[in-house]
Amino acid sequence: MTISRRRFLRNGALAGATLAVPGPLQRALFAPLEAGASGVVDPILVVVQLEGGNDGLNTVIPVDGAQRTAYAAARPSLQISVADLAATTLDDPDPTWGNALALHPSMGGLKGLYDAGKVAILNGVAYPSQSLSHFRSEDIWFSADPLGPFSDGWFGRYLDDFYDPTDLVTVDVDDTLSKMFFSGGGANVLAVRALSQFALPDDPLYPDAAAKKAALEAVYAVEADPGQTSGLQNSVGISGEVLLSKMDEYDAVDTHWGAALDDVPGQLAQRLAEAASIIRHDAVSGSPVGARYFHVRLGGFDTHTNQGTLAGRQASLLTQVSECLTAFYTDLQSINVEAGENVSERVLTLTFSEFGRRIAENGSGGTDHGQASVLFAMGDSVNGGIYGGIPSIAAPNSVGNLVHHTDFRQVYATIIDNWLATAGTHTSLIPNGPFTTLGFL
Amino acid sequence: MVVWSEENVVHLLNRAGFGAKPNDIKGFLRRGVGLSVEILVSQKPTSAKGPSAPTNERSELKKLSTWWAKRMATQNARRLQEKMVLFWHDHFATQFSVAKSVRRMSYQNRTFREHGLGPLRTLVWEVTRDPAMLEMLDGRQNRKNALNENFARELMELFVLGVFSFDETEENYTQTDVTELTRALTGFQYDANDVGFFNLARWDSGSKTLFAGKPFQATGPIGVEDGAGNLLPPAQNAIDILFTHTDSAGNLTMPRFLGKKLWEYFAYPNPDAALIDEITTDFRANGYVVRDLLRSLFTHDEFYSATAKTSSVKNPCEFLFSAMRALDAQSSHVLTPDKLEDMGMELFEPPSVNGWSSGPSWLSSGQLVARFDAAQAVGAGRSATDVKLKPEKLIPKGAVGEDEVVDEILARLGIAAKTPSGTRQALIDYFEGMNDFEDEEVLEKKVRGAVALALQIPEASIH
Repeated sequence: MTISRRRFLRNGALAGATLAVPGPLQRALFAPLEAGASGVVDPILVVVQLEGGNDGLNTVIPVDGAQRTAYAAARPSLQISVADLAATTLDDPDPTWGNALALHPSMGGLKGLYDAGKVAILNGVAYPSQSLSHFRSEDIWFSADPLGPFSDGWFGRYLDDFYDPTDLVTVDVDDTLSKMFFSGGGANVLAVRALSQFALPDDPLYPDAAAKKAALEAVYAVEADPGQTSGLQNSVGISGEVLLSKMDEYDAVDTHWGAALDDVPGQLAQRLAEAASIIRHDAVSGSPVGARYFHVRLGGFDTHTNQGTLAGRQASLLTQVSECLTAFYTDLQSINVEAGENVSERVLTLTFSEFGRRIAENGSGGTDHGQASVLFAMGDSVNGGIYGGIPSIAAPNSVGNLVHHTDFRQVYATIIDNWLATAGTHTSLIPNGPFTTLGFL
Repeated sequence: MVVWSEENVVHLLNRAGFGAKPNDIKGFLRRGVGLSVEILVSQKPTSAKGPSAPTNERSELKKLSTWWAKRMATQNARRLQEKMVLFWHDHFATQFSVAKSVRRMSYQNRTFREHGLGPLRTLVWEVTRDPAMLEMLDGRQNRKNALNENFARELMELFVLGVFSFDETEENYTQTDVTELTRALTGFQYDANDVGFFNLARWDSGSKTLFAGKPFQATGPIGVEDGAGNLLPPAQNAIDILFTHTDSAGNLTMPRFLGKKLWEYFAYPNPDAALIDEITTDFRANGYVVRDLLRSLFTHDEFYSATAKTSSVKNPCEFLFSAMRALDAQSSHVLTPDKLEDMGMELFEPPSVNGWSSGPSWLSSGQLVARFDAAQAVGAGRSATDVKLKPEKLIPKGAVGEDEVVDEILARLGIAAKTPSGTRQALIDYFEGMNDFEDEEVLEKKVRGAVALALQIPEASIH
């Protein structure tokens, strides 16, 4: 496929659509990579964003010891009782404090996967000089740069270095493109909340749809005239052209194959099911679309009020997270059987949230914005276990938040060096490195 | 000096409204830039409000959305007023799914219409006691000894100041400021009729300190209202105190913050500080009246620069309504809310308190396809329930070639100059040499198809 508008783009410097100001890093260009350091060929990454700031302290909870005492004191109405944690108490203790830890009681499914060694729990993760703004904090997680203003996304930089802009290897199952994929090099990312959306209009009153589609393709294939066309026009033209070229391929993806995720209610399940369908399609059909990287999002974690304990806002969200991750894991096992190969070993799923929440509950049965929180990494290639303890509850920072001990860029460094690429690669994608990798991959 | 041309009229009406009908252009051209802008900014407040059922039924919300869409699509003299309703809905972003009441959303919509061009102080006060916002950011829960900082933080971060100074080198406030402002904002509630009020008994009347250590530090029993429905005097009023915030060089923060946001909404991204200071001069001099800022913005030379005409992506309302106005297409707008939602702009349901992501974010793959759908609906529209387009009106009198039809469509849409010649040719080729214009049925379909196509090219989504 030739992308005509891009020829102009490559020759002239301009900014537009997903084109941001080039990042601060001097980057080398690597050849596209087959196997990461983990030895996994064609690794797949699924990022699950929990938007609003998930309360880590009521997600992975101290069950006993000094941390439990401090937790119970800070949360008179929001603590989860020890009795209610019995079924989800983990076999491994907090590596810092030695006390027992439990998942929120609504996360029984995830507990099962943890017991099977498929889940890494990453406690105490945040970034220095925590911003308590959702949007600034999200920008920092997306850019992997806590210091500068947002310019581009860490994953956009990865795409720039390892792929051609017209390689459509990434699908954001969402209405709009996450800033995580913003790129200085014009990487194209499909952003669509459901693949069924992804088709040209059909109108029975209007019989020459085929002619019109051909005309539309011709319009988007027009060679840009640098003297006449703005950067924005060009970048829109490029994404439209890439999009049109991929439509028929994506039309072949079956989204009604009976995913376990179809039985889980809620938006997260629907969107993860789209990702699962693409992974399955590429594993079992002879004509893969070639998508390997996915982002899905679940909102509502900003629990300033009525956060709840066993029931309530957070419980309902965590139920969704646990059920979705469990069903997704099940679906990957089914895909293994159907494909006759271990596809699931190539899939890493990572959750994150822009920050945790205040240790002490507020005046309206909720919690305000905090700092350190917990991430989950799930997959057949993940080294399960607990990485890092819950930060000291009795010794918070000056505004009452958990102090992080693990920099979020260590998580990215681990994924880049041990999953997506090779050791040391992260220093060209994450500013201000190097960062020590963690052992979960 | 701005040269008052047809191109500039269309630019103004695209930005300060939702596009131009052929008839609009002549009138505004005759008036000149000063009078044209004055008509737009000086409209008297109106308290017009849409369907306001006290329910959280989505079907009732759809009625409200249709009512508002119709105003955006058709209001003439009040077009900027409606544009500002949309701007403030995006700025003070409130979600129906959180506010859970059509009436509360309708009342907020009326507040933006009534106060959207007036003194900012009044607007922020109205938003502070607005029932939908009291739900959205938990203001109703925030009371003496039971603080909830959700609204206070976003009031500073998203509504009035921003996290950082204009040059992004200084943080505008600390967590202590958030807590102190939270205390000052205690006590707001709403009643069973969805009318907001201030409950003195729930207010934290103690002394607070905002911006400790800064030249504009304020200390005392800071609040907003006095308990009898009046605003507190400026020295004690949290809203006025926020307006006194400056960076370390003494530049007022709020005018730069709001000036930049409005400039980016109406012109282009990343303006210089000097430009923003110019368009906020009258705004700063006369008590922060929004219309003063807009007047300066829409009469500034830079607003009519080439960059200002080609650097923004039309939001879905702008895209759909400007196309319909330009083509004189009619609609009952019953289906418009669904179209807007598919294109990424579900009215009364912005994605977060930060509003919609603007610019190229409007053109994600899914949303670009949704634009293709909307364009198709306009082109193919044969019924007023959806869209009614009269294609015969797009064929110039005495036209003998398909190129004349294509040129007419591009001119109507106001994109003739920026459409690449290759794109124009592809539109002409779509007629496949049909130039005898005798088979009216085929011709109609071709014209409709060309309209849809012309709305699907990148140029139709950019202004």
